[in-house]
Amino acid sequence: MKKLLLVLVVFLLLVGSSFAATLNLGMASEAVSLDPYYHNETATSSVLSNIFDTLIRFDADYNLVPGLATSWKALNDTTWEVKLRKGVTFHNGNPFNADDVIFSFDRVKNWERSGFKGKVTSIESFEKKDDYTVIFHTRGPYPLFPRKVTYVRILDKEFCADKSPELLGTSAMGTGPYSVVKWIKGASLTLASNQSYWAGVPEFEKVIFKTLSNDSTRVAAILSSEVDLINRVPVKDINRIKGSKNFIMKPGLRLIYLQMDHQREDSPYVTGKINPFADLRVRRAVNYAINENNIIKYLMNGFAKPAGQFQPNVVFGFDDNIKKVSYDPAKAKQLLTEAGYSDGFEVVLDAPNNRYINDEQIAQAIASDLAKVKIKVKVNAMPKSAYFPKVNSSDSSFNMLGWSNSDGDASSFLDACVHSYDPDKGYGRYNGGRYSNAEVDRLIEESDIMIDQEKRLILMKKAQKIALLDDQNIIPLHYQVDLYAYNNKITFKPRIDSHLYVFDMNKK
Amino acid sequence: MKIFENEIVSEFFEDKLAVAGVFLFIAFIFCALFPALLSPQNPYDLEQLFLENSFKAPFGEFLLGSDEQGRDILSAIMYGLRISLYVGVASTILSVLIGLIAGLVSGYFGGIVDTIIMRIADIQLSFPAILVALIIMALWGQGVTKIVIAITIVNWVYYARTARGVVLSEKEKDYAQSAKALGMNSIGIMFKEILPNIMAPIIVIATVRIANAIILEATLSFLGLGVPITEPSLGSLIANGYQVLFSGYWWGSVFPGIVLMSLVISINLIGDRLRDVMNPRLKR
Repeated sequence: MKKLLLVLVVFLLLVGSSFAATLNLGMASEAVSLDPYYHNETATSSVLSNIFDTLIRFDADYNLVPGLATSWKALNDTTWEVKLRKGVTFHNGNPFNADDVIFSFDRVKNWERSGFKGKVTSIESFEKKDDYTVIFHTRGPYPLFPRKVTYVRILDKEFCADKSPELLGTSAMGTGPYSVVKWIKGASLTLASNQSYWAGVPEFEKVIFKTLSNDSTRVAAILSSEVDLINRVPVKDINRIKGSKNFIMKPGLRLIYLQMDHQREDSPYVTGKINPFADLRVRRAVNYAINENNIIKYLMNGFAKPAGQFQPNVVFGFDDNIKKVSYDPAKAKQLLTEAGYSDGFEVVLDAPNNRYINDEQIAQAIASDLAKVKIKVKVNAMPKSAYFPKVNSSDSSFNMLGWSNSDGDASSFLDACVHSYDPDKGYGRYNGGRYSNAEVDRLIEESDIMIDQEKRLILMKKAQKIALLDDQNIIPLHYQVDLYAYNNKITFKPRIDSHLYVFDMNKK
Repeated sequence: MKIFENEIVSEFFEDKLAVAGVFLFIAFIFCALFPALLSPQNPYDLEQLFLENSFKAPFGEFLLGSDEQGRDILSAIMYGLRISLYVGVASTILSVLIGLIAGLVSGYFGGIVDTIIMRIADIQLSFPAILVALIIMALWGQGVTKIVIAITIVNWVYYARTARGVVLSEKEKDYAQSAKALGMNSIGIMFKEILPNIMAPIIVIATVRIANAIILEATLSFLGLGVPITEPSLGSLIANGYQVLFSGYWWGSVFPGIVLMSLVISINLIGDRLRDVMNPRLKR
């Protein structure tokens, strides 16, 4: 009997120690693709930040720190010299050098399906000076250069040479702290540590990103210790988790907003021949009619911050003078009457149901708010895989979106979502409502090349003021708060960009 | 005491359980027909929903509690009953019609017609009913009419098979043979002579299968393929409540579940009694 017990104890210890190095993460949302240039979206970027490195990267608090570059400096207004780290290898053993950087920037700029074109439009050309030095030429003076470089994950040129885009979407070869072992789409992504990582050996040997998109399942998984950490703790379950697990919140960068069809006279999902959203008074009325404080109080359990503009106050470009309009259904009705919609109109509100915190419920609450000013809203909620292609191709009249500011600068939203849709220049890529104002476009373009940060700030504020206050191009709802729960086996500090960067996590 | 003239009806009411079932069923029908009279709120009307009423516990301001959007569960159940019953009854009537005709034709004519219809039925029966309905809903999308059609497609087979079985024995009987000898045409014989004599088993099956259709609708809605939550049926209410069931808001699923269960029990009680009184072989 004693012998048996001893064997059992030894066995358990062995099992215990071999599993201790595995980190299980329960994720609300999985990567869309493992191709780092396909889609600019947080869930995807979060996973890829573990596999790929960038030349320059952000630390947890949004300071720029060296990645695969050791130093960068502006040689003159339009030329930057970047020195590369030596002795770095990709997961397959290929050495990293300037050729890979040139290949990566070339692909991110020129691949037709690149979702990051807009991030690098101002980088005009780049050339290899020697194996570990790259020179970048920008279109004009480009103050944002180091920030924009953080978007471009470096690919292995040799690995990518003979792979189709489809194959690159499911296999990834980077220099990051973890390499891909197996991706079962919809279920899990298994990563193994990169023992020769340039910044040190990662603490966890194996990391499994489990896709647990159902809220109850994800909560059950952390409560039963099936996973060590979950993101997007459902706000209604916080009290259950608080008792037994660590719980941490971090004010996020993600703006949740409503986008309306500005362009078409006959919008596809509005009943009637005339698009009511073309009328500024209607857009303003919608803004007044939504009781955001109630949404935050009752649907989010208080875990969100009301948004009155494009970005929260930690972002460069935030304007203290813009205040959120307060809920005023009487004013909304009056504006609708002035616009000739005293009897309202009918419209479909498209929303995802597995992307943002309580997304479908928020959409339904908005529908019931708008019903009180006679706008009949039918909520069409769908999974994000169907939703984003639909909205990005403007196959929608009214929709709910989120935008996570990923470089700490207001230009992120202005360039992609406010500037007129202009694929050639790489502007307005996510401007699905096709809002367009020449003055705003000019201000944005000017701010993008303004070296003087004071003047830049003025230009960006002015652009936001016209787009938001004068034109009501979108309706800001709230900024999300990131909520995580984790067990006592790990130490964890959330990043402001919501990425789960495992290299920064430690065993306890 | 002889309240009822009809022998079958009076015999039916001799069983207390069946009487309870009838009363329960009538109560449900009443709720479903006049939800606006009884319910405190119209859950279809977004103007009546207020987030301030989100997740109110039962037995307070809202008798059976409220959901996330401030929708009264009791009202939602009454309106939900309407859709559930409508789907159950409408799909049963449709499938009885289709099934009867198919069964009559198949049994009466036999031969190649019989083979074709019965093989189609066999193929369909070899798939689980829920799978067939799921495929149809996935192809067509959501909606009350679509769910009725989907359930009809699933259910007609049962009536067709039963009808055919009875027709096979009935058509050999003297009355049918003499009608034929008198020169009555096939359609006349089928519908005027044979049909009245095969109705008893069909009625019994139909009662039981109404309950089945209601459950199928609830299952589809629970899986998210039935009616949208803005037009709640019992199944979609249960599904909606299930999302927060483990967060302590149990009432969203439990109350619609109890109502669904009672509805099915009441129909089954009626169905069981009907089978007893309409089947001469079971008579004492």
